[in-house]
Amino acid sequence: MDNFEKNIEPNFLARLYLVSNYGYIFLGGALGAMARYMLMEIAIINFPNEIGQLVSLFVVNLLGAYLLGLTIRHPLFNSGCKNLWGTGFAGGFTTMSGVTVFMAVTDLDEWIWGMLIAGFIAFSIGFRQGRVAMRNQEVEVA
Amino acid sequence: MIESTLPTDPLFAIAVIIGIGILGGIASVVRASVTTWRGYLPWGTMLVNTIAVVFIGFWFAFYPEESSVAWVSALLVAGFAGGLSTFSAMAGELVFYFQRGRMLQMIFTAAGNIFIPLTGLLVITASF
Repeated sequence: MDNFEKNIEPNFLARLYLVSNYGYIFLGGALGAMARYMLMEIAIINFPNEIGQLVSLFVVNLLGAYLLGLTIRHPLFNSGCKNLWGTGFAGGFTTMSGVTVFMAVTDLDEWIWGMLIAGFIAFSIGFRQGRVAMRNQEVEVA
Repeated sequence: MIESTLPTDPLFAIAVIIGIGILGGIASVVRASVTTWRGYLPWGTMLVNTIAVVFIGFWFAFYPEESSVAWVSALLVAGFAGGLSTFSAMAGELVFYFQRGRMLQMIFTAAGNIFIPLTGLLVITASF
């Protein structure tokens, strides 16, 4: 019986951990996809042109990049929260397919390169804020 | 002029948004599994972005013109393809390469995530 538990329990816990991680990612991805769709629909209804679509792409991608950067080191986000808000929500909220299709059908390519640079900066800001918060917490604990 | 894909019936619109959520969630789980594949470059991220764009290319190649199926387009394009592709992970990879001074990998990652899916889309649209 002891051998049985030793052999089975770690596998079961590992499987449970994996399933719960995927559950968080599924939930976050679902929320992110719905939020992105509604935000982009609001933009299309109010500004039914290329600029409206470009602005909505900028907003979702920069917010998502910032959030993913923040979740990596911020002490508020434990493992489950990272999967929910980082991999799940931020990943589902941002879209690269929308960017590529937009690039293929419009002549606004230079804005897409600008979006890449802005995404880089947004992620860096989020990551830095998360790291500062982690260091502050470590100082408080010490 | 870009048209909205949201149905006018409020209950149907809510059902479509929930459907987008379910497909987006499934696509996110697939993305999370595939993006673990990385070598010299983050191949997994490039692969999910390319698959998402090629999928959109296929869908619009066979897309019926009637506006009555615009909601199917919303489910597949905004839900599945949107949930599968990711900008944030790519931005994160660019930052990590930059922090480690790996400029060549950073440039290849940025260019690869733009040009590989774009090439896939152009091939699909030219083929059909």
